[in-house]
Amino acid sequence: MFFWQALMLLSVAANLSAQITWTGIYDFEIKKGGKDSKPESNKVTNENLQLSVRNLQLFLNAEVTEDIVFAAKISTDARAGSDATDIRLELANVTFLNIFGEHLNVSAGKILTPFGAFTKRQLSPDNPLIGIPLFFYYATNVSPLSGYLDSGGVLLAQSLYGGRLSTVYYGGYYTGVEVFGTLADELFSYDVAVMNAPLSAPNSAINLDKNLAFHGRVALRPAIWGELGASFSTGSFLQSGPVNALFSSKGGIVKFTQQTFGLDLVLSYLYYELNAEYIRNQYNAPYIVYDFTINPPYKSGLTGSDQISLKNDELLVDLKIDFFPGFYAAGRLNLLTFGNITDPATASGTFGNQVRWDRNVTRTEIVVGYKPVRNVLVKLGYQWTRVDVNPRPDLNVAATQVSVTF
Amino acid sequence: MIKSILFTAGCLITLPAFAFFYEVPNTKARDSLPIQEQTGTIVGTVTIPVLPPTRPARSSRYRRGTEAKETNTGGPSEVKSVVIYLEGLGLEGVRPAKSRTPMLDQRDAEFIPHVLPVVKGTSVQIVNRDRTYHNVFSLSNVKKFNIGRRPTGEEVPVSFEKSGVIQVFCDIHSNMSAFIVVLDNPMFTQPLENGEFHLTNIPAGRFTIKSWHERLSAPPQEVTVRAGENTKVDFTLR
Repeated sequence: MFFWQALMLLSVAANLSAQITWTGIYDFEIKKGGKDSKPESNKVTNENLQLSVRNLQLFLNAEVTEDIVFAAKISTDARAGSDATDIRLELANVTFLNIFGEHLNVSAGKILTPFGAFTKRQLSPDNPLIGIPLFFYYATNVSPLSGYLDSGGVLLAQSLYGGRLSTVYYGGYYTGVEVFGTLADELFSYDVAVMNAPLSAPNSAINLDKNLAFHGRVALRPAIWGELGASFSTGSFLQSGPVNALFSSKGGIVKFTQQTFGLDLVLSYLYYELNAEYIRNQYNAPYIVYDFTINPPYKSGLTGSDQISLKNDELLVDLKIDFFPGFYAAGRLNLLTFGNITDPATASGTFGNQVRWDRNVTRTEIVVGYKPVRNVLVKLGYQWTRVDVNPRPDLNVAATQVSVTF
Repeated sequence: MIKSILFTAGCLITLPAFAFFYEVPNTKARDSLPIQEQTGTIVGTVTIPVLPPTRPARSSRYRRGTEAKETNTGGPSEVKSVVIYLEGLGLEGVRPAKSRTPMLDQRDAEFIPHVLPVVKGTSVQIVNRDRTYHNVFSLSNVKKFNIGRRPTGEEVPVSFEKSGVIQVFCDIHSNMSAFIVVLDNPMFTQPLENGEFHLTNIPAGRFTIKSWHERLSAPPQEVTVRAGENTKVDFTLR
């Protein structure tokens, strides 16, 4: 009953009128990547010099009443390093503020995941570096249709197995209902949401077998200079498709879940700001192999259980330091490490080869930023990426970004 | 690889030392002089149109801001953000009366006052009254400074040696801004809520009286101040 009452309330709010405010961010980038550059590895298409409108983002804000606000974000961006052509509605939500003072607020619609800390500072004026962290876009050996991809699967992934997933879907935008607030004079804060997808599934993936995901974060701010947060997300990540239809008679695909735990820390004082984030991610994924002798030609490649546990750890540390007024320097260290599994492609009973389910990645990035005026930020940076594979791919990137807010 | 990371980290950590290069040493407020004997007063009224409020919606939580306030409401309270000041020969030597050190507060994610007129050479105390950080900075050519993130209650003096208008921002809360209007002499004032203003202890002579507002303007006027007399000047800003 409460659910329907809440739904009616949201519907009514959508029909109210309000004065609206438009603001925006425009990012122009010039990038030069190494010869092995790929969008899913370093967001650069190839080794050629690339000029692109990285982002044009328009924010629409409206106060429907003093405590009911509507927010939307329309974005065009160039994910593959080309000119911006794609227009997407990334945010569209209504927020009911002060339902119980600052302790209880509710948002509904397309919202930003409460998971982690970086999602709140991903916009170019807030992100001191040029790139976004690996966990937002680095494609791992997990398919949204077939689960774990071995080396053969990776080759087929784009055409047959639905591409590859990053730990957090680019940008962290999902559709759902979020409850948030602060307690004890802002000593504690909480932010929990029921969403249409877990962290790695794109917002457009609404076909998740009617299963919902949970995202949440609680934080402790013992002093003005520091905050410690803990996040959790869980949900089924597989999207229905012919490749995984074999599980329809075995309880469906909802049993294949992504579970993610995160810790984040912010320390800042005077001219220094340190952000650190650790993520432990786990997929309980199927492993589907092609078999032309059956129809449809897909079967589970696992024996015993029909899922395999894929774990990986991710670490992000960035430091921003202001020096001359208007200038700052920033550095970021980003690690992506993968756990061992018994290689199902070579497994025989329980005695298969132990292999990493993907290749570790280390990325270091430095940037010098300059604000000639309040709303213009110019960044000049370099990014070193090391992937643990021989021969090592050249994925280093030199980049300049001009970001204008209006 | 590790060496280059350590070297880079070392460089980054020592960089903020340069931030202080732009900090002008704190200067004490000048001593006051006895009120000049041959002085007059200018009185008048400032009228401004009722402006539409520039009020960003409160849903800025996706842009790392905070709840926005009405920055310019127009009408009675807005007129207090006007500065009336004198220019002309004979005012250079006038020293400011001894008064409290000007303060620029950050309270409820808002600068208070929104417009702070001071005479050049003044040190303004900038203080954070909120429980969250603010990072006050200016990129104005008149005065560039960045006081960094300061905890609640810590007062930071910033001195202003050149005259001009300095817009001040918070790097953390994009809605926050203020103006410090640095003037060549202490002959300035701000109107009351009803628009009335008084400029007192002006040496007798002929001067130019001007007004300043962040968005509105009015032409300057010539005014003759006679000892012991009130001279009336009104401004209508558009």
